Amino acid sequence: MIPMPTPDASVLARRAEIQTALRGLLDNPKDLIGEGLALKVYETDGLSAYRQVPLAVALPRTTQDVARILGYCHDNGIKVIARGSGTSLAGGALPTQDAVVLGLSKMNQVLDIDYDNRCARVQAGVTNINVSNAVDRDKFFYAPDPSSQLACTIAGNVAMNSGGAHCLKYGVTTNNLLGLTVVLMDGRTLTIGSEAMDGDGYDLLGLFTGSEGMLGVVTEVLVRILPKPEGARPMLVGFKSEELAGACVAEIIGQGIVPVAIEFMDKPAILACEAFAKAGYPTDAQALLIIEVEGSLLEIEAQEARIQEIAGHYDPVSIKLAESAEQAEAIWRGRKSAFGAMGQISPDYLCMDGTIPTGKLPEVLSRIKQVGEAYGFQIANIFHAGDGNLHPLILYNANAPGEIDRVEAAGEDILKVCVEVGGCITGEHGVGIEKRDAMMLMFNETDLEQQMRIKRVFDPLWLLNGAKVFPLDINPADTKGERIAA
Amino acid sequence: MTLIADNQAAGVLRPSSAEELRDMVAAATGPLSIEGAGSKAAWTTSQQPSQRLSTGQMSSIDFFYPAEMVVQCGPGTRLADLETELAAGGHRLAFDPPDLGPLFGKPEGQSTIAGVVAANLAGSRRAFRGGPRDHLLGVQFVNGMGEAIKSGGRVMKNVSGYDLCKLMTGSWGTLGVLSQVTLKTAPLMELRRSLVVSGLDEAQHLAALIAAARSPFDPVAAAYLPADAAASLGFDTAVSLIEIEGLAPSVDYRSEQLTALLRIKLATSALSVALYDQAESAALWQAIKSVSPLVGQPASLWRLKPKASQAADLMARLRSRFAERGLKVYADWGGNLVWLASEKAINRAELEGLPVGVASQVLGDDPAPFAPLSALQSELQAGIKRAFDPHGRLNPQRLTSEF
Ligand SMILES: Cc1cc2nc3c(=O)[nH]c(=O)nc-3n(C[C@H](O)[C@H](O)[C@H](O)COP(=O)(O)OP(=O)(O)OC[C@H]3O[C@@H](n4cnc5c(N)ncnc54)[C@H](O)[C@@H]3O)c2cc1C
Repeated sequence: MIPMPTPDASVLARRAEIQTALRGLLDNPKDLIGEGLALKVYETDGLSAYRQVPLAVALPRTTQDVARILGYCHDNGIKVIARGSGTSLAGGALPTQDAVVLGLSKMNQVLDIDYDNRCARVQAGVTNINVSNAVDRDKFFYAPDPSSQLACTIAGNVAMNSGGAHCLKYGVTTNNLLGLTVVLMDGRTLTIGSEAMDGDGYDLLGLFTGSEGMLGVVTEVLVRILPKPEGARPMLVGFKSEELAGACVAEIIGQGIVPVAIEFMDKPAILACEAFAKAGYPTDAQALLIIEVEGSLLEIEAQEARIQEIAGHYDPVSIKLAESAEQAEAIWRGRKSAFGAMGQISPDYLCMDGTIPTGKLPEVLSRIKQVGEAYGFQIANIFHAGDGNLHPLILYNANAPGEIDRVEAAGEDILKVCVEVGGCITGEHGVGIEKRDAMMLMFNETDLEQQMRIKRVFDPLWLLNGAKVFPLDINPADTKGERIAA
Repeated sequence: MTLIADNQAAGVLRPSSAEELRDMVAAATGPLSIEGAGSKAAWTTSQQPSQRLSTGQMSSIDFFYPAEMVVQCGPGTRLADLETELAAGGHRLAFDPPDLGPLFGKPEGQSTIAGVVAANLAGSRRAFRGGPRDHLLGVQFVNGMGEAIKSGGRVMKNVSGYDLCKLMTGSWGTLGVLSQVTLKTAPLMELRRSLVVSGLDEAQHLAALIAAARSPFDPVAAAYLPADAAASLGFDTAVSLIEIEGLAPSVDYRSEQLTALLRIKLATSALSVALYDQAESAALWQAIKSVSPLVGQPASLWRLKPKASQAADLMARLRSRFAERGLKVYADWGGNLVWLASEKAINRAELEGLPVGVASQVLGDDPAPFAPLSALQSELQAGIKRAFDPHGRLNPQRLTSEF
């Protein structure tokens, strides 16, 4: 189990007083949640094995609300955790008992759309899908598409630098932003970036993106929106082995074809997703690629023909083109519901998120299998194959005594493999609490001290989401070194 | 003084390895002036006299895996050498960096990759394919305390810890001395083609760039050259260039569609579109990204970053405000970048009130070449500087007079 710092007793003792003060700072007293089930909703995020009921939850409606709340918390030494929709798989939004959760859910408006300059200004609590929805009728979209896009917020995406299946062509969150409005922990409001790309001075936009809500609270985001391609179509290619599928990906990219997405599933993932979504996945294949190309029909067909020709070199068991919009939708539904599908075949699963050099795929998959066997867990693998971002899903039962510790140990072993072959511990889900200690697999203390000095520039009192990212052994959030089980 | 002579000057520290670099910075007792090839030495605020340190010797391509779209190299690797190596493997840098050496009176081909990253220099594809910040996967550097630091890695997706790659990009060597960079590469496409559009007035030209950017036909670059700038590239009239690339059938299709779209959007019979294949257009794009249409001896050269929708208005107002200054302008990045050169100097205060977006002086004698920041921004930037370089050793005053 992952420990958390012991809550500050003096803050816990002032609970009622703090709640009253916060309520007074919000226009509508109902925007402060102080007890009961409504409060308990905020005790966890997508890493649901960990729970901590926060001191209170404030639901601001404006940047000014956020500034007032942060200013108060700053002056009173109260910790704050910003939260979008709580879908973080790394425990990024896990509160502590002595912290106020600042939930952005009421700041969900699209403020301005500017097609000529290909950008939109949105409040940070808007969901990812609603940005695309707002511009869909004019044939635009917001490119990064995490599988959680129906629920997760742009704020969470910025904090985690989230990716998605279509990032091979369009890049991740950080490549699709132009500006931010941020409130610092001391209540001051900072605007970063603009329609002009690459302002002078240090790239604070790039620094904030992926900083896991530790440097400031994002209230508005200026996103790049893109014209939608005329059409897009996925195809399914089944292979007799994982090696063959991996080699096929390498040749597609090696030939200079960069599809918008290349997703890989191994046999356990194929079976689970097919049972769940009935997407027509080839259940006789050992590995499956979903390859999506886009453009006009003519362009789609030209690319598909090239890809089929290449796939032909790798003895595919099946090649299936989506023949209708419904089939295309079903293919993606299968992939995007992969996590839900795991829920059907196992009580719990732990989703890992390492990235590896794509050429190492066969080696890494066989080592992951060994890890699973050593610990006695079944592991299904889903992989953004074009960019090397691997999601091993370790199936376990949280209610079985001791399993949680074993599954975490297995997860850490998998991350070690990823780092050993030249990859990293997280490609898109973030470090949160989950991979805090695994940071030492990639970085030494000098590297991490450099990062922590940056945090201090923005939050010298270390009040904002401090128990994350940096191992507790060196993390100022854990000054006393006394820890509790979260 | 020529570049060669510069490099032979006595007393320049020239580490040949990351360890040597670290030791040299750690041993420094005063300010260091960090350079790659020194090709952009002129683009700066005034500097204190300081010990020069050049990473030009640390030139190596450590690996390049086309199927993984990644290259790792030493900071002193010449951009030209890197591009040759990538092209041999069928790849390129997607952000197509310019070599601005000649703009500063230096020979071509001297720019180093660390210089490109430190100055965050993107070519014409910036608005559609990103800049160095978007393609830098990993860095190793030595901070001002002489500590070796790493961030990122060699894989495409990585959110392990804060993204220091972004801070290093565009920091002009003020936060750390790069000892290694890892970049994402992009495959060269089967076919590249440029639409060369003429017969339009200036507002229509810029509207054409926006129409292309708003279309599903995926331009990778779009620029507009008024008649005088176009003349230096051999055109006898103002032109816009819009580049597309991909598989041949797709390029054929999109060039037809884009042409049709421009005819509808601009609704003028004067519009004429010529198609240039790569052989004809490569030199043009090379010139556009390197600011060649304005190379000469301008008293000042400004890089302005307006909204694309305001570029036409900006160019018109620049002409009227500075009618007597011997002005030359053109637009790149689909209208998000306007280059402004003048025979008589223009200073920052004189740009007041114009929709310039971010204005940086590339050549000239304005004491503050980079766009001023808000008070809060300045405070935070100074804090970041201290977090990397508490004694102010690295390139003091290169970025701002404040540190
Ligand atoms: C089923 C499922 C599928 C997923 N698929 C993907 C995927 O394909 N790709 C991917 O990248 N991720 C994926 N995720 C992970 C998760 O959805 C992303 O990390 C997402 O960006 C989190 O958004 P959120 O709004 O839920 O943020 P939260 O979980 O609420 O918070 C995440 C982090 O953001 C910080 N934060 C929230 N709001 C702010 C703010 N206003 N200012 C500053 N910091 C803030 C929090 O403090 C926390 O550290 C998936 C999760 C689930 C449950």
